[in-house]
Amino acid sequence: MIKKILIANRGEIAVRVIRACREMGIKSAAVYSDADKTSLHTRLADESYYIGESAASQSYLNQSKLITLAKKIKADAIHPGYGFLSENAEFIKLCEKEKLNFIGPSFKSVEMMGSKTAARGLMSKSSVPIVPGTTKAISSITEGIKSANEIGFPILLKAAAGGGGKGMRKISSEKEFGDAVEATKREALKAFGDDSIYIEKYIENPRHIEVQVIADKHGNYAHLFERECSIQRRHQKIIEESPSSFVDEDTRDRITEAAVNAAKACGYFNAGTIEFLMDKDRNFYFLEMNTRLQVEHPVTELISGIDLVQEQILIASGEKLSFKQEDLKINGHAFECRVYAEDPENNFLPSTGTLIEYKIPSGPGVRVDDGFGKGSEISIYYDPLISKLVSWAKDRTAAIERMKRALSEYQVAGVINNIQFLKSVFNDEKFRRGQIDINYLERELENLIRATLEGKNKNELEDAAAIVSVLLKEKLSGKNYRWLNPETSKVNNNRWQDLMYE
Amino acid sequence: MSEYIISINDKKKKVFYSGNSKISVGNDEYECDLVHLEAQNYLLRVNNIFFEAVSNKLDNERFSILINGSLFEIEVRSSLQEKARELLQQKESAHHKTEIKAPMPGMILRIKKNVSENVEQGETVLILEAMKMENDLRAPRTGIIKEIFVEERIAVEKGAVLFTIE
Repeated sequence: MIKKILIANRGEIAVRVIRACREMGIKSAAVYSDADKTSLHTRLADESYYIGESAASQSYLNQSKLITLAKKIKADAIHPGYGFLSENAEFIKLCEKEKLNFIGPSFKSVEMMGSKTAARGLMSKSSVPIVPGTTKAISSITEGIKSANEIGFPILLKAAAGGGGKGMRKISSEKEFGDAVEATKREALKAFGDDSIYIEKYIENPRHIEVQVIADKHGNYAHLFERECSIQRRHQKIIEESPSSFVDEDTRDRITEAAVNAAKACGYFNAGTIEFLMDKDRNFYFLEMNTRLQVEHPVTELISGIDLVQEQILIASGEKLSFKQEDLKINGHAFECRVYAEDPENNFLPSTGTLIEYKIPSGPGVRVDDGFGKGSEISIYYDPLISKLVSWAKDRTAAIERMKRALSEYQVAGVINNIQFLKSVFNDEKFRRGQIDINYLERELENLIRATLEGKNKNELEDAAAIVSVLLKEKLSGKNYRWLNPETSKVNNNRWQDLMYE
Repeated sequence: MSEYIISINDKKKKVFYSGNSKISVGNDEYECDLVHLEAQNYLLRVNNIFFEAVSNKLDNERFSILINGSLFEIEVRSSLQEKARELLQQKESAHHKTEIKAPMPGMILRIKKNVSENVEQGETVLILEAMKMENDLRAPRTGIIKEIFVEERIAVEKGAVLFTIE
């Protein structure tokens, strides 16, 4: 069994791993950069080591520093969290060479799933549905039209060398085909220096549905149902839930089976996630596999009762899965929202600063995974995630109400944040009815921002703020400031309070 | 008895403070009580509702105040100060120039406009990279780019003046 884990990450996910370690009686060692001296993970870990300058390349991405440190402090395993080195096959190889237990999959699995085209090929051989399309670049317009008709319009023309949304064009009918091919080729040549293009089926307003899988080193595989992550902005997930309100029993059976097949195809062990796009008829298509712990894993933990991080550690130690597939059932409904230091009213511009106030919600069915405390610094160097706020209740509606309650208890000052914006999503009728897809947020953005402003700038709050500011100004200007209510001033004259606060 | 003018969310509110527990904001009169909890934390009672408040003094006239999770930036001036300010502003508006400052530290990725070029309100003037994200900095009003103080690929501090529009 593993005795000491070096956590090669920061923020909330480092804290999450520390918590699992503590419950299992394993020693945790955190690392921190200059920018993270005030972060929570450095305070909570059994030991914390300075790893380098703030830039990730000098700290959390510096493989040799991490390996040297792990050996020096006699850690026997490394947990990579998500992001940074979590899906870096070279780093996994290096760990193996240095006899350090990497808490994750083998480098072979990571390599097999790392390339999108290779993964697509592997999936189509393993009865996992992929988005229908041509496998090779199209050679002529007539040939292209023939393929397009086989796939069925609308289709998407894509530059083979493309990425980042460039060199893509939606085509709804045969008429548009010729002109669109020419234009896309020109664009592709300009952007990528290669004008080969291929055809993919265009999926209109799909939902993002993903399946949590887990496997040990003894060939036992299981899934922990699906999550829906359709609330996204620029491919960044903002709100996730489990189960999906759209997936019925039959679809669940099929999509979870496909996900387990995908994991088996790459000889996977560790926790992993298979992402799919789902169209309005509940057809689903493989998107990619994430060979690591996912940011949104808490919703799965709450509905399944399984601690995924502890399970990861057991698997890396060579243990078998602690449960069987047939032991699992979906219990209730969970939401997660990502609380970011960003300004929704100002094009979601990230915000930096010191948390001068930080009070987290609690009460029944509320979980906060965070990496900062009062006085922590949110810097420019990393992702602006403050925390993940998670709610659980017996059904979707109750979980929504619980999340709204939790959001209204959350108090953050010092950085601009998206808490009010999240509230306006949980208040939105379409969201509440589950009428969502990956384009929902962009489509509804104007309404949501308006609701955010209305919720925030309520007259009673404005007046209260005005009163506080006037009273403080009076105090500053040295005018006979005193507590307004004589009863209160008595409390403040209490000797015990004087001792405590003076 | 003091009279203040409060600027909040582009609105102005008149506040009368009588010296006892009565405060009126605009036409509404409230009975209030403020308790200092610790450091910047206060508890405010307005009639029968309690609010948790965190105050951050920005300068002698400006406070940022968090009330039940909503953040407000407030300017507080006595009636006299407000009048003096209005007079000053009238003078200045004769030749009006707007400074655009960096909202956060970062690196100038691209400058899309040149000096003396026209810009529409909302048009992107430059792109600032911070926290691994590209942020468009837009013109807050229509006008002509008067000066640009930065170059591409240089790092800027928060609050640095990037360009001006006239």
